[in-house]
Amino acid sequence: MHARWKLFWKYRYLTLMMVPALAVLVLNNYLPMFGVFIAFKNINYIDGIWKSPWVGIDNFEFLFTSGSIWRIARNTVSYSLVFMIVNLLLSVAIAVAINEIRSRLLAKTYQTFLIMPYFLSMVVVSYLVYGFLNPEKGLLNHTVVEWLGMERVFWYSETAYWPYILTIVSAWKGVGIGAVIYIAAIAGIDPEYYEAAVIDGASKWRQIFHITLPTIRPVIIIITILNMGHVFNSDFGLFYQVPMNSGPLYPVTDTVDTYVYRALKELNDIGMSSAAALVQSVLGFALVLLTNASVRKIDKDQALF
Amino acid sequence: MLKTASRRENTISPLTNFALNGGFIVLALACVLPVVLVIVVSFTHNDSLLSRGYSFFPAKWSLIAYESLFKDYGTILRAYGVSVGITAAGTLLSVLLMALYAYPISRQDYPLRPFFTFFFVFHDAVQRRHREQVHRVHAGTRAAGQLSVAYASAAHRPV
Repeated sequence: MHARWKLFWKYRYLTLMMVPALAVLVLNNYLPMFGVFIAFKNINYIDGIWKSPWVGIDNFEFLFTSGSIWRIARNTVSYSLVFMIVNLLLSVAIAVAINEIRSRLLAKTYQTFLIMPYFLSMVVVSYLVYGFLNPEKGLLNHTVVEWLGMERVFWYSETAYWPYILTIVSAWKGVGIGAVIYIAAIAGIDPEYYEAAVIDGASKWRQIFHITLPTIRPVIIIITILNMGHVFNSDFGLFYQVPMNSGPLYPVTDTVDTYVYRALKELNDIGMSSAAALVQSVLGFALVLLTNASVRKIDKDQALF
Repeated sequence: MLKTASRRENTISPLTNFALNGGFIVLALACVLPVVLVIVVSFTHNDSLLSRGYSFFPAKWSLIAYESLFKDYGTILRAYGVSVGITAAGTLLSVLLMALYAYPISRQDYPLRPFFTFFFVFHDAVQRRHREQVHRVHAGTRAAGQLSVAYASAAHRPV
């Protein structure tokens, strides 16, 4: 016991370093967790939060029997998985390709352009998309009508295109910034590996698959684990703003986050929204634990905890 | 990247280089053109919009949109102030705090390492996204945090 305290005392400065961030975490993230009881109450503004009646799992019952839960859960999870895979593949591909370009100046220029979309707010992006997809004035409808002679498409009413549109917008926005992390990781690879590979006569492709990719595997795994925890979340801006909150598109663009938001705005039911959000969080947490456990089985060092 | 002798011998062929550059020019254009489109549209005249719609080459240019915008410059200026202020302060604080938090976790010999790593990841996995105003700070924290954790763990690759 005494030895333990001595150990902690030895590392007192490191622990001290963590205090500000810990304070933020505790106050901003852990304390509000106690608000989870709101999901089990039927909050009305007359009784306030403390005196509103307890309804047990009624909110959850309503959530699961209302029918739309399966649609929004399916949408949320499918989109998250697709985005995760597509963005990962594209980010890594871009990172590897940027590293191979001869001119460092050009590579840096491309990188700058590629990360630019990340810094645009989704509200702005929704209007960029609108500039292309506006049924009367949009660029796509004009091109489609004038050059190809086809009929105008009512983009904001047809559900068939939106899985692709949302994937493209998500990739457009996220791939550039995602590649930055991998570029940094690749830049840290010891050139001696490549020298040895060249001496052994390895081609570029072999070098990529046998040196570059395996070395950045830890980074990929960490980011994938962190993203797995967000599978039940969705980018609210992407699914609410970009489709311009268009009703006919709900079957393919409604996710848990937009559902909770609309329920809160229209029904003003804090209890139910909290219930939906709680389900989302619990599932996300379970998924992180599961993913981490699976990774630990495969390769103990790579697991996050 | 180091310009060592090995690097110079190990580069790709000029043809591949040309192809890659071409591909990246297309990608960079794809990232920039939507913004350019909206900028050009903001300078087009109403009539041109009605007749030809959004286009990179409008029939008539005008500043009508900007006139009506700047009539109310007070609101816009304040909105920018809020955005910039929150982003600047938020980024500074996030990076500082996250760096201070990530370093002890990255040290293999730190005794409380598993606990604090879990503490951070747990909050990150369960974190709720709040309203639009907090979005940037949150994204900055998460990005900084993920970067910190990524760097912290990448620093201990088995070499």
